[in-house]
Amino acid sequence: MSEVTIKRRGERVKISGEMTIYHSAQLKAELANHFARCNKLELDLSEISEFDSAGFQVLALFHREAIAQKKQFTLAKCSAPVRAALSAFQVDWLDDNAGAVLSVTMK
Amino acid sequence: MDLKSKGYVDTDSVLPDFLAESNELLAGMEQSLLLLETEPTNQDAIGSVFRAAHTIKGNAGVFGFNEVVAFTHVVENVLSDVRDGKAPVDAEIIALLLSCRDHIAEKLDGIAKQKKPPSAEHLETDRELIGKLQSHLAEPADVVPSASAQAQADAVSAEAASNSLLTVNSAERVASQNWHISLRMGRDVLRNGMDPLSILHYLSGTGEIVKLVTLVDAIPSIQEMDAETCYLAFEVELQSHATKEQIESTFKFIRDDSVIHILPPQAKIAEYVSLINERANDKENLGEILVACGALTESELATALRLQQAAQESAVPVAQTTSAGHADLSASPGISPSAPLLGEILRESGVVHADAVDAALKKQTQVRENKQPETQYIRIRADKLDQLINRVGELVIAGAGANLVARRAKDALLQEATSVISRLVEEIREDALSLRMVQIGETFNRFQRVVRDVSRELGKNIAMVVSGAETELDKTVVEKITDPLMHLVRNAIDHGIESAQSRKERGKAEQGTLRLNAYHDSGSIVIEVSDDGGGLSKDKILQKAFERGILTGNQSLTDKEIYNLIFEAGFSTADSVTNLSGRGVGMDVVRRNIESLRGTVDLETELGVGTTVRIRLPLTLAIIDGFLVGVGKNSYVIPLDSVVECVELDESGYEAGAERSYVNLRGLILPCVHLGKHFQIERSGRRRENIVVVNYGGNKAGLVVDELFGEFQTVIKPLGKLFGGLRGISGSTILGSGEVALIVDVPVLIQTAAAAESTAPARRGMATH
Repeated sequence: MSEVTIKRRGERVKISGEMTIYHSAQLKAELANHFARCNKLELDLSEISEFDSAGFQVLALFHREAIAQKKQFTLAKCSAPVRAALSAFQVDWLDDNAGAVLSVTMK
Repeated sequence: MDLKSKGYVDTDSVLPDFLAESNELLAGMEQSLLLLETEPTNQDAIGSVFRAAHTIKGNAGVFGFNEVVAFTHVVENVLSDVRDGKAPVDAEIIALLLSCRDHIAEKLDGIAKQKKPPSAEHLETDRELIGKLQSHLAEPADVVPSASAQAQADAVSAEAASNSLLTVNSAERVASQNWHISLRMGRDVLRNGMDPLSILHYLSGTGEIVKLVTLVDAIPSIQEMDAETCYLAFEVELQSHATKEQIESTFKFIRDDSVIHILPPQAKIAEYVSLINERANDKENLGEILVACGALTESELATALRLQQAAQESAVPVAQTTSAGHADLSASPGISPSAPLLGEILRESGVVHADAVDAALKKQTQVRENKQPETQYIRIRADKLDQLINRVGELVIAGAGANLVARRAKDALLQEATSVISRLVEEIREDALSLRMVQIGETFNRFQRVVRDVSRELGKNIAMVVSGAETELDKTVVEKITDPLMHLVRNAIDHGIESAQSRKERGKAEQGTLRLNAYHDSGSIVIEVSDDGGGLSKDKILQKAFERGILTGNQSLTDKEIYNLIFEAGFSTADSVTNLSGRGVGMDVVRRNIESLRGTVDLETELGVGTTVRIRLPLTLAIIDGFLVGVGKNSYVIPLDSVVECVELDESGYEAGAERSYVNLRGLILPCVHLGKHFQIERSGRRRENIVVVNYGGNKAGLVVDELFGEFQTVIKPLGKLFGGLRGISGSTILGSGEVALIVDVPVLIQTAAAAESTAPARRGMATH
């Protein structure tokens, strides 16, 4: 049973395991903690085994907050499940740095 | 727009349902119209006629049957005036609406038989009826003059536009060929175990997601955000040939708490306007999102915004949704006070889809209110039901076999187990048979129209009174009994009931009465068709019978036998109709039909007072409760319903029975039939015998048998043609042991017994048929 683990290496945060509804509260709390102290959020999602809409919402939250607070938001590496979900939601957060827009909805 | 040709609706698979539902609606419409004839102010009846027309129009629209839509639309307009009290309910309009109903039925029949194109005659009726309908309209301008589909569409949309006050270009349609789906996930979707990701995946199974915009604006600040609440929303452009229902079904698990809007391809701009309006307080700029999706072009958006502004300026409550709070957003359409707006707005848009929405909304309402009886039924193919009954029949036989083995094995546990199974099998049998049971009222009601039409034609004033409409009988029996009943009803109106003039002369009420009655009686259903007409003249019947050579010599007949002569083949011919007071052609056909159902028919009449024809039918054709008896080495089954009691035939009784074929039962004379003698069975020596007292149609008789085995569930297997002439046997069945037992035909045996009794010196022979 793989839980979610969050490791911080400098500014980069590596999340491993399940990024799902079961751990989304914990995930959000820890990322919030980290986000408050950093100028940029660089996420390594290469070892995410499962990714659902709850996980996506947490990502979307920090993506939006990063833009709002002019912090850098980077998805460094993504595993296949993450890529599949992002493509299903048709969001374009990969390979872009600060100022990524969530399509036209951002004002 | 012809949906059919675009393949949006898979008509083949649901067409039978559409036709069946429409026919039911038409039947209801007819009922209500006839009711209106007597109670012109009955609002329920008016409402039900209107709803029937409306639903048929809506459903026909979904299927692209523009012919039906166009015609029904005009009917609906008139009905709408009637409902609002703008047009009076009089005999003329009811007659017109009845013809319209028939005309719609004809159109549907044409669809069912795939007749194309409609005949010139049909089109002529079309024009004629529409012309008449228009003259009844309060505002004739609102009518579609031709049956052209486009004109129809325009008229409906014009109507919609004027209702919604979105008068500027509201009929203009967007160019997009894609479905547009606007999804606002319910807050609890994730907690309920639903993942929007899977729903999108599922949606892509119905078509291609051309463009999807994920909206995350609803996610609150980091502190407030609850990671287990769903904040997601989507605007989806879907390219699909699926039906709206198919697309909707994608969302069936979330639709209770999510807000879902599905706009069809080439939806009206007005629909997008209402969508934008609905989301106006949501911090979203939906208009731009729609453009980004490709749902709207820039210029379409501009038009939409103009419309929106116009609507707001005229202070129409279209935009006044209270969707500021998320609470409202999560309410399902149709329940919260603001929600019906959605239905209204969607309904007021494009004609065909509007009707689809309408039907969908109506269905939802029906499910919620659970008031409409239709929703409590499932349509099943009749052959599936037959198969089930057959299986149950086999199960009964197999169960009886198992029972027998268990009894022989003398294993208490096994016997107990099989007896439990037997009980369950019996219950299943009851349930299975009750599935086939339908109330006869529906059949009776069909005659209401016949009575009305025929009596008008003949200038008679006749009322039909129905009782026992809730009496149930097997569906196959109902189907087969309809024609003979129709015959009897027509006969009663035509020849039975006199004209108003002669009724008055005879001191009767001017209005004649035709009574249809049904009730259950010892395993049979009895259906009575009675009239208060002239009755039959005994002398004339006898005279006719001699003329026809049915009676020869000087047989003396009871009154009942005389009256029943009219069921004899060759008795009635065309010219006898005028000679006799009634009961004309084809009563022998009626009797044959009824006898083929193992039923009987007889007639009671009194000159000048009226006539009653009584049909007695078995409740079901498949399985009966039997009473198993043994004669010699053979087994016979007597239908349990007709068994009254069993008594032992003592020595003296036997002697008496042997000589005179009747016994003294507690002081009453009981005619008896020795089954052994009747069927010429060799009997193994002298044994103690029993009498099974049976009752049928008020007559009692005793059947003398050797052994009584008790109750036995009997699956009736028909006898082959070879045994068609066999008297006293109505069928066969297979016992658990695999042996065949014959089912005794009680009515015939009773007749035989009665005939034997009447051969006593006091009376002479009787005509057994």
